[in-house]
Amino acid sequence: MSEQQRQQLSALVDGEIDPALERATVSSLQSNDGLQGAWERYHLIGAAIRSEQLREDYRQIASLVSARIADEPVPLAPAAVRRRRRSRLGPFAGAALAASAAFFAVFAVPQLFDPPPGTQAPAAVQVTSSAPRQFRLPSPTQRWHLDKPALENKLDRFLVNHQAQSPASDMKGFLPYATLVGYETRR
Amino acid sequence: MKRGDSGAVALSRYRNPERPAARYRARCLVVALLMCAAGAAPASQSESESESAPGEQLARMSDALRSLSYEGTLVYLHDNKLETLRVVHRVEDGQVSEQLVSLNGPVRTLTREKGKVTCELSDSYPISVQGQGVGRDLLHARTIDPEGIADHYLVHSLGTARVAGRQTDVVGIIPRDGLRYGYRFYLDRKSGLPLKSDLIGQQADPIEQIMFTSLNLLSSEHRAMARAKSLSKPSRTDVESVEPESGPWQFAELPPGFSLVMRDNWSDTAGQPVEHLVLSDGLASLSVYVESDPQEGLEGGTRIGAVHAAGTRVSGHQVTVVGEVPSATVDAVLASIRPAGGAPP
Repeated sequence: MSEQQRQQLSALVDGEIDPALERATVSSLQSNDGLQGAWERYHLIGAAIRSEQLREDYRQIASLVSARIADEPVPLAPAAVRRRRRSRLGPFAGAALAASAAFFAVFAVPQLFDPPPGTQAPAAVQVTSSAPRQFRLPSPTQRWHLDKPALENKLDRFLVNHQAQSPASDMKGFLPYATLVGYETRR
Repeated sequence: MKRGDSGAVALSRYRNPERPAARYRARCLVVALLMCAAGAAPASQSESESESAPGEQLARMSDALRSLSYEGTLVYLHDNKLETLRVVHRVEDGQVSEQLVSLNGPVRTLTREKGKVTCELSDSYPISVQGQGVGRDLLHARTIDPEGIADHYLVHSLGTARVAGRQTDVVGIIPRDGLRYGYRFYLDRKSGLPLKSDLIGQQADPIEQIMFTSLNLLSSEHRAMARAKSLSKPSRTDVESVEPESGPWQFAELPPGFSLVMRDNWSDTAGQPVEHLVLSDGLASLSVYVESDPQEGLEGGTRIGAVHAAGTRVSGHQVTVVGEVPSATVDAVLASIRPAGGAPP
């Protein structure tokens, strides 16, 4: 793996590769394990710079892509047709491929790691549009955990009267009264 | 500079005197310094010992609670929830007024003034009751007597700790069984106020904690006035027992240590009479309410924080037990109550 190859690979990751070099760079990437490792590292570095969630299985990106492509029933014959069409598109083809690669790296790659239904989710927490359940504020509940407001009011009166009358309340400082005022189950 | 350091400096200063007289003065100085240090050490030790007597510390806490004027912010931790309270406690003209205000969530307040307790809670009408027992006046508040509760609690000094930037002496009240809670009081060394209080459950873990995060002691004039008008000493925890056979309701077998200390006739909001009985072991307490014609009554158990309540129907009456005790204690009291003579009053 030469320095020139690494530079071209870096440009490919960034979507800024010279269209004329794109095909050769992709071919090299497919056949060179060193370049595949560099491809993974460049993506990891980019994700870290963008403060994205890092997942260990990102390091298997090349093998996962290869496996997914191998599983796809894609006929090889139309490839020649596509090559001819691409050549007619001229310089736009390279830019489109680079954009596709960038799109694939940013949006499509994470989907490769989504676990099948029924398997354990990865450790990293994905930020979604709504807050995770464990971070949401608890829904309101009653002080006495009863669904009978009149009865709860009566128990409050009983407790206030108990604290006011009990000879032991004042011995313990603020504790008895903190329960009366401080106890709140809405948060 | 420490005493030992000053002695070392004095010794080095006179280490190589040329004349014997100077050498002698140096030795005398060292001996004098050593004697001073030896004399001071037992004094400080005895002082710390006297401060660590838990009974004296608890008496000082009671005195501080009824005589000091102060305001501050408290944090209250329960069930992994943290609340903030504002407390204003004033002693004026021999009368104590106190207000607790919640600073989190819905506004809840509790005011104690001239024996009257007014509590405003969320989603509820204001509750106002006039204290009629011995706790109606903070100036007559009782103190915790280690000997009086020795059968059911172990009172220990637990060392020192720093709370809200102040040095405290920690006193632990450890229950001997699972029918009552324990306490840890962190008492301000200067004022005696409990800067932090832990309510300890059966697993020896704090189930409720309340702690000052800021404290402002107000004018000492209030304290002097309160001291002059209050009793000479707070009374101890030997609460007077009420004759259990005199009322319409009796207890077959109370939890160990608990006895009837107060009986009162109360009225609910509709004016219906409610029999109110207070049980205590000298530190923990619970109330029993007997209603003859309740609109709605508690069936089973519930709680808020460390306060448990349980209720059921007994001989056509609604009986509700509530108090800052474990659920086993309220259940035992509820199972024990019965009408006097076996017939409902």
